[in-house]
Amino acid sequence: MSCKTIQAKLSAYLDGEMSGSEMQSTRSHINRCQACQTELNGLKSVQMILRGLPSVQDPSEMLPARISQSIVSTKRTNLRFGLLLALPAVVLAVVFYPRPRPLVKVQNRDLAINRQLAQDQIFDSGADSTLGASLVHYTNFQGR
Amino acid sequence: MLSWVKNQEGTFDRSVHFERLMRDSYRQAYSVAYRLTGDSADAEDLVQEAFVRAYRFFHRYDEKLPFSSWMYRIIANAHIDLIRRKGKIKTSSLDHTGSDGLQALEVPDFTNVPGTEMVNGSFSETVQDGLNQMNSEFRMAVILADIEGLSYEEVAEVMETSVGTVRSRIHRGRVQLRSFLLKAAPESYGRYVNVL
Repeated sequence: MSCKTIQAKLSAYLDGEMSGSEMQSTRSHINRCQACQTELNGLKSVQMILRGLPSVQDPSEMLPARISQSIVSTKRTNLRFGLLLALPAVVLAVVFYPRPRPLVKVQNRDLAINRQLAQDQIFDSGADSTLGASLVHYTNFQGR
Repeated sequence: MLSWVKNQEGTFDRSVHFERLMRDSYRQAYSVAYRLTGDSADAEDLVQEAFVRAYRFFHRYDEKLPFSSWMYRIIANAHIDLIRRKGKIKTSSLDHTGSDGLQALEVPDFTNVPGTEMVNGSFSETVQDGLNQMNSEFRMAVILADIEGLSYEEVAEVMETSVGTVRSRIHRGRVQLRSFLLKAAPESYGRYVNVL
């Protein structure tokens, strides 16, 4: 493998993040290549420096309260925003909601149905449904 | 304060559970945010933004993943959004790419500035300057691996990418930082190299 290929893998080699065979081939190259050894040392030093950085100072003690407050105010904003979005839908529902039919119309319709039913019953009993007179049933042509 | 009441089943509600996790993890989150931003006020803002997002999407949190890892992911995304908003995002350009395929950094030369001899405290500030100049994806990968001690697989999970990409980001980030330190603080950096 070329030095360029090996050097691209040096961080993974340093961290032990490669397969066993890859580790072996990389190690054998480094052992006989001064340029790659120097490159590896440079990366090791960076790793050492980063690991040795002092701990970050604690944040302000108020931070948790600030976070909680921010969450609560976001929830309120979302609620207000949700209500604002819902408002047009409510207005449309009020405007276009199907209104019940007037009672008088329903009563008239029921009367008409009842009248028709009564006429049907009269007809079924063998009378003229409009005059109430008996209907003549002819059983044959001579009886006429 | 988030709500602290028990629900009808006698178990704590989501807000309480979240608040506990937040109080347990905010320092760690701040530490990563500080390394990402290099500024305490920006780090606090970033942590606050990240926890607000985390609360909003808490129903999506998979408890198989450690809460801190989930927070790292949110912090990384919130940080990218933050620098986009501030117009500070660094874009890689082929014109600025070195022969080794790595992006060249603009490095201030501290070498000849009087009174800036690098010692422990100021050297750590220089290292932070180097982190600040790094591409944000490389920076996050380096911070998670080298400072937080995550494995490549864990970094990949946090950054929602492949282990191969993480490998490349960490390597390129370290190379960028080394180039920066060689120019910005050659003496202090040299001490570490000479130890090896």
